[in-house]
Amino acid sequence: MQFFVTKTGLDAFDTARAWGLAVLLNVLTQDEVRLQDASWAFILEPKGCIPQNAQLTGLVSWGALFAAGDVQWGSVFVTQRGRREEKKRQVRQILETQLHSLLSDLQRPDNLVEIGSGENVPGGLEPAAFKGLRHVTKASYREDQLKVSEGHWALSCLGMATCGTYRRIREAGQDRWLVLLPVPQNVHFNYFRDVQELMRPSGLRYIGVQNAAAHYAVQLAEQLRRRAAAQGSLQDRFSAILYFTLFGTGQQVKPSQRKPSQVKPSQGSQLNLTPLMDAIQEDPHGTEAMLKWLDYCFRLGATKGAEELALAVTELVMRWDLDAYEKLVRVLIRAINRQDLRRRNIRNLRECLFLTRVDILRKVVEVMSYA
Amino acid sequence: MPKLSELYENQAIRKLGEALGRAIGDEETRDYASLIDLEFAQDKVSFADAIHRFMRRFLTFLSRKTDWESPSEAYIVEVMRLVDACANEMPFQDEQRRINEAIRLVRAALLSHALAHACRIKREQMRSQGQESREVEGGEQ
Repeated sequence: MQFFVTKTGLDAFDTARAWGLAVLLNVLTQDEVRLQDASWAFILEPKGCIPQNAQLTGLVSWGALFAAGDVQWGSVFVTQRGRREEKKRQVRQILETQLHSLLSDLQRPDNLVEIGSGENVPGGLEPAAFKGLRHVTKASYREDQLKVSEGHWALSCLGMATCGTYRRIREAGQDRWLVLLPVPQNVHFNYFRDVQELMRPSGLRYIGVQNAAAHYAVQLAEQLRRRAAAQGSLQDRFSAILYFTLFGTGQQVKPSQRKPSQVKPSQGSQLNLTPLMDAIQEDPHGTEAMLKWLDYCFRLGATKGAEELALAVTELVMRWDLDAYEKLVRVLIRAINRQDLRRRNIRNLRECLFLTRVDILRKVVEVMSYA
Repeated sequence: MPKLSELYENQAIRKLGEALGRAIGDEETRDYASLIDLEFAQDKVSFADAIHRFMRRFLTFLSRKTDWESPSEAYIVEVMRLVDACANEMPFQDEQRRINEAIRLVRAALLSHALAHACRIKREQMRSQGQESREVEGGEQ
């Protein structure tokens, strides 16, 4: 039995819905769910059967999704101050009451999301959901909230809360939320914590959102590489990581009530994982040292004064081209001669020196051929 | 195009890269000028020029560093032959672009050897400094 999450063009919303449906099917069947990106839609296929007259109410695994501390409901509804619990309850209620109609709708390949009515898509889930202007201008330009049908809204919130990652980072002297969501290409979904595990917190001080996203991409690739090395081949593939940041604004003038801390998106994009996935698929054991080397470059780049290294390695992971590679080499050659770096981060510098070998650097250049 | 592994294992690339790494990694010489020369080389003439300039600098270092070995001039010819071989196999119509891409590929291999060698020198320096400091601490005790 196949289910189709037809894409709307709102990347984070679509991906979150796919993850949300995977979680839902996983809870209902208590079995593996296969997720595939078919470019026009995400196609989901549960391994087990959905029981006749299946009910979510009363299922322990379903209740756990709303009780567990590591399901990030608060972060998804970060823009809905004081209404987070209410929204969470609403998601649960919608999915419990509309389960059958939603599932039968999603079995049709031509199902579409009704946009313009229903629930407001939260800004913590989809950066495009934020309004451009909140007040009437001289040109009478006005942008309304992005509303989608209830069932799809609830699915996307469930997917983001379970499989999305929210991390607090400091950028340009300001605290921000870094939001990450892996985009599945061909994934065997067993448990939402397997997806969360791919984005373990690194504890580093990043110099920017791209830097953080690139390091998380390398960590995700390493986790998948380990699984591939253990299983003999790459079973799960991710095509990209969606990332964006949210920041609080205290100064913005609002047409209605002025709130002390609104949350706004700052920037977002997606990081292509295909070169790394292809390299891992080709040689899961051979890529180990290269990923470790990249990881130590990020760790060394997180040292105060080594920001240029962080930017260079970020550029390489984002672009995978010879220009970025040459830049990284030039920066690293200078970095290893610096005494201050030696004083501040001798451990990571030593590891980096130890790992910088010709075979590893050749592997980095090989990855570029997949880009 | 020669395979990437052939390019990286080519003796001329390896020897020139190691010499460059030695010149950059050494505390006294720190030859970043050669690195910049190579960075700005866009065509075959400027690339060959950059390697020649590096060789001349390296010869001046040899007067102070008696244990260093000078790479053979024949390696420059071999590197330029590799550039031609790479350029001939590049899938672009424009000849200049083929040469540019070939230079970038050969330069990447050269820099990889240089970085790896510079790191090896640093590792050895750190190890010997660590041993020295342990010996000093041992002597004081």
